[in-house]
Amino acid sequence: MRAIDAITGRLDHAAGVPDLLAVAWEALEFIRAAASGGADSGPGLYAAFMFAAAAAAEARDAVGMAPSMRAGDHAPGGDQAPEEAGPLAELAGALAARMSAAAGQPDDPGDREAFRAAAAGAGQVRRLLAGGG
Amino acid sequence: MMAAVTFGDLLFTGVGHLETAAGRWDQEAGDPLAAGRQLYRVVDVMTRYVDGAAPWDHAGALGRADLVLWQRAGTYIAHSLHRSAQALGRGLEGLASLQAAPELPPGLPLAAAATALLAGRDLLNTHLTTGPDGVRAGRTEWAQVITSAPVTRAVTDLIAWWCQQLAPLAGRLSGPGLAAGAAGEFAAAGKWLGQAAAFARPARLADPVSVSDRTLLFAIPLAAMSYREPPRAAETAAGLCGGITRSASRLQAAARGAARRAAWAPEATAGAWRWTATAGAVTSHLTEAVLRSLAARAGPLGLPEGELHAAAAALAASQASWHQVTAAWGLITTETRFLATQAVTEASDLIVRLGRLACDNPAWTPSAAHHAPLRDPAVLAPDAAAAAAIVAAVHYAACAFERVAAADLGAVEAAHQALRLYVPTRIIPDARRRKNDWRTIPRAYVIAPEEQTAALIEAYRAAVTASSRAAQALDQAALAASAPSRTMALAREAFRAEERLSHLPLPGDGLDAPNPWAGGPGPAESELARIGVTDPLVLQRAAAIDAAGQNLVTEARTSAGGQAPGPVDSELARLGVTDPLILQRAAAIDAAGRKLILEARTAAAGGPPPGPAESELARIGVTDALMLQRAAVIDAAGQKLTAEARAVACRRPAAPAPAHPAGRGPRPGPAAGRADLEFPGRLAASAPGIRAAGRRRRPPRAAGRPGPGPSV
Repeated sequence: MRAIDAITGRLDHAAGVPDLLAVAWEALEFIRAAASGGADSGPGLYAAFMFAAAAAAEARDAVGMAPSMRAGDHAPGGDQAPEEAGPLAELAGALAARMSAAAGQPDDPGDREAFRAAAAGAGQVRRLLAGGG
Repeated sequence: MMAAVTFGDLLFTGVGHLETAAGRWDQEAGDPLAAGRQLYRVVDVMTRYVDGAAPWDHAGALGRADLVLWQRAGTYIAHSLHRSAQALGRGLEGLASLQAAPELPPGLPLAAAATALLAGRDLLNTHLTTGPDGVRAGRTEWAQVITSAPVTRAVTDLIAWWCQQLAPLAGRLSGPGLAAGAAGEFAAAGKWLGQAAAFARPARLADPVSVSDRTLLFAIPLAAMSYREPPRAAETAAGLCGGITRSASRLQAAARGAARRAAWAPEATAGAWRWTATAGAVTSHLTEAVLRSLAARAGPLGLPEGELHAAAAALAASQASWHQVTAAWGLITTETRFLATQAVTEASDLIVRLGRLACDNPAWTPSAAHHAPLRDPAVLAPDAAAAAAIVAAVHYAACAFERVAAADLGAVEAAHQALRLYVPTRIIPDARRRKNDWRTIPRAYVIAPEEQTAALIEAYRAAVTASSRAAQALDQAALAASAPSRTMALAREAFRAEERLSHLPLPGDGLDAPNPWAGGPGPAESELARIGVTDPLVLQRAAAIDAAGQNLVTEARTSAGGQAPGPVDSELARLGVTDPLILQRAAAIDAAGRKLILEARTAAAGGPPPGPAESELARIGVTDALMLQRAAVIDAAGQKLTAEARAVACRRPAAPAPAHPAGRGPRPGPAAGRADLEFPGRLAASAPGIRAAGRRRRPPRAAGRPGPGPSV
C-alpha cells in the first residue's frame, strides 16, 4: 500500500481528539516532506510545491502544539518519496474537510484552534497543488 | 514608477542655480548686502558639509592610507571655509544691521543653490541615525558607502570645486562703492575660498577622483521607504520591473534589525523564517529562468551573455542552498505561530511579479493552477532597454535576498541563543532518549538539540554565501549590461572594499617596545579628562581617535620598511657590534635624537609641537612620508576635538559669531583662535584651535603669503 493511501485510511478511521490530532500531524508532515522532495519534479510547479511544503509545516506545528496532542505522537516523517501534485492535493483536501468537520468537537479551545489551523493549512496546500496534474 | 531623488539630482539643481548666479553676478552685486548674504548662505552650507557630514573626519576612517591625502585636503578646506565665512560675516556687518534686514526674497539664484546643496547634505544624513547614547550609526546599507574612499574623494573634490566657483564671486563684491572695511573682508573671503580650492590640488594629482567615484556619489538616494503597491492584473513588463524593485527595497529595509528582534518578538517565528527561506528558493528559481531567457537574446540585443550565464548559474546554486535551509528546518519550530511580517508581504509581492515577468501568464501566482511556460525571450525583452530594466529588477531582487539571508542567519542564531528553537520530544537523539525515555517526558516539545540547530545554522551560512555570490554575479551583469542598477553595483563594491578594510587583521603582538597608550586612555582622551570633559559622546570620539593613532603606531612598529636605523645604531653595526644591550642603548639614543630633531624643526617653522602619533612615529624612526601624513591627520583630529571641547568647557563660542539673524549665517567654526600668518590653513600655537594635518615646514604653493586680508 502506498504511504499516501495508508494515511488517508487512518484519517478516515481516526476517532477522538487525540487520534485526530495525531493523524493530522502525520498527514501534514507527510505532505511537507513529499512536497519538498517533489518540488523539482514538474515543470513550472516549483513554487507551488515549495509553498505547499511551507504551509504544511506551519499547520503541522499548530497541531503539534495542541493541548491534547500526545507527546509520542509526533512521528518523524523522514524522507518521503516525491509525490505528484494531484494526490497531495487530494490528501490535503480530505484533511481540510476532516479538520473543519472536527473543529467544533474538542472542549479545549486550544484543540479547536489547532483543528482550525490544520484545516486552513491543508486548504492552502490543496489550493496550491490542485490543477497541477 | 517615480525614481527616488538622488544626491546628484540635488547637486545638479544647485549647479544650475550657481551658473545662473555667476552669469548675472554683476547685476546681483549691485545690491552687495543681498549678494553677500546669498554667498554667506552657500559658504555656511559648505561648512556644514565639512563639519557635519565630512567623511574625512570620521574617526573610523582616520589615518587610513587610502584616504590620507583627501583627509588632509579636507582638513585644510574646512579651515579655509570657516575663515571665509568669518570674513563674509564681518563684511556684512560693515554694510548694515542685519537684525533689521529683511528676509532674502525667493528666486535669488545663489540662495537657491545653497538650498539645493543643503538638501543634498540632508539627503546624505538620511542614511545615518543617532542612537539614544548619542552615537551616530548607519541606518541603511548606504551609510558605509557615504564614508567610503570613493565618496570621500568625490565629496571633498566637490566642495573644492564649489569653492573655486565662489571665490571670484566674493572677489567681485569688493568693488568700488563699498566701505573699505567691508570690501577688504569680502576680498579676504574670496581669497580664503580660492585657497580652499587649491588645497585639493595635491590630492587630485596623487589620487584622482574617478568617474565611478562621482557616479557613486551622485547615485546616493534619499533613504525613504516607498509605499507598498500590491500586484495588479495585467501589469506591463516595465510595471512589473518597477514593482519588483520597490518590493526588493522594502524587503531589504524590513530585514534590518531582524537579529535584534529574534530573541523576543512574537513575529519572529519558525514559520516566518521557513517562509522567507522558501521565498528565497522560489525567487532564485524564477530569476535564474529570467536570466537564461535574457541570455538567449544576448546576440541580437548586445547583452553580456557570459555574465548573464554566470549569474544564472550562481542563482541556481542560491536556489539549492535556500532549498536546503527549508529542509534543515525539518521539525524545528518556535513557541509562537506564524504571523505575516512585512518581509513576508514584500517577498510575496516580489515573487508574484517575478513569476508574471518570467512566465507567460499575466495572472501567474505560485498556485499550480496558474502555472505557465516561460515567456518567449523575444517577448520578454524586445529591445536592449527592456532587457537592461529586467536585469536591474532581478539584480535588486537578488540583493534583497542576500540581505535576507544574512538577517535570517543572525535572527536564527539569536533565537537559538535565546532557547526559542524546539523539536518534538519524540525525536530527541538516542543518547538522550536512553537516559530520559521520551514517554516519561511530560512535554510534547523540548529545546532543539545542538546537532539539529547546528545543521540549520550551517544551512543558513551556506545560503548567505550562495546568495552573496549570486548578488555579486548580478553586480557584474548589471555593470556589463549598463542596467539602471549599475550604480548600486558600484556602491556594493565600495561597501565590500570598506568591509575588507575593516576586517584586516591588526598587526600581531610581540612588539619590541611597549605601546605608549596601552593600559589606559590615549592622549586625546587624557587631555579631555584633564580639562574636565565628561560628555560620553566626546569621550567616545576621543577614544576612537586614540585607537586610530594606536593602530598606526602598532602598524609602524611591525612594518620594517617604514623604519630606518639611526646614526648611532648604523655606526655600531658598521663596527660589527652585536651586544644586544649596547644596540638597545644605541636605538634609544637614536629615538631621542629623532624626536628632538622633529621638535626643533617644528619650532623653527613657528608651529605647535607635533602631536602624539607623529611624535611617536618620529621616535621609533619612521621615515615613510605617507605614514607620517596619516599620523598628522590623526593628531589634527585629536587637536580639533580638544579645541571644541575646550571651547564648550569655557562656555564661550569657538569663534566670534557674526551678528546675524539666527539661522542665516554660518555657525561658529571649531577652529577658533588667531590665524597663523605663515600658513593660513593652520592656527598659531597659542590658539585653542586645530593644527592642520600634514608636515608643517612648508605651506602648499596655493597658500598665500601672508594671509588673504584683514580678517587675519
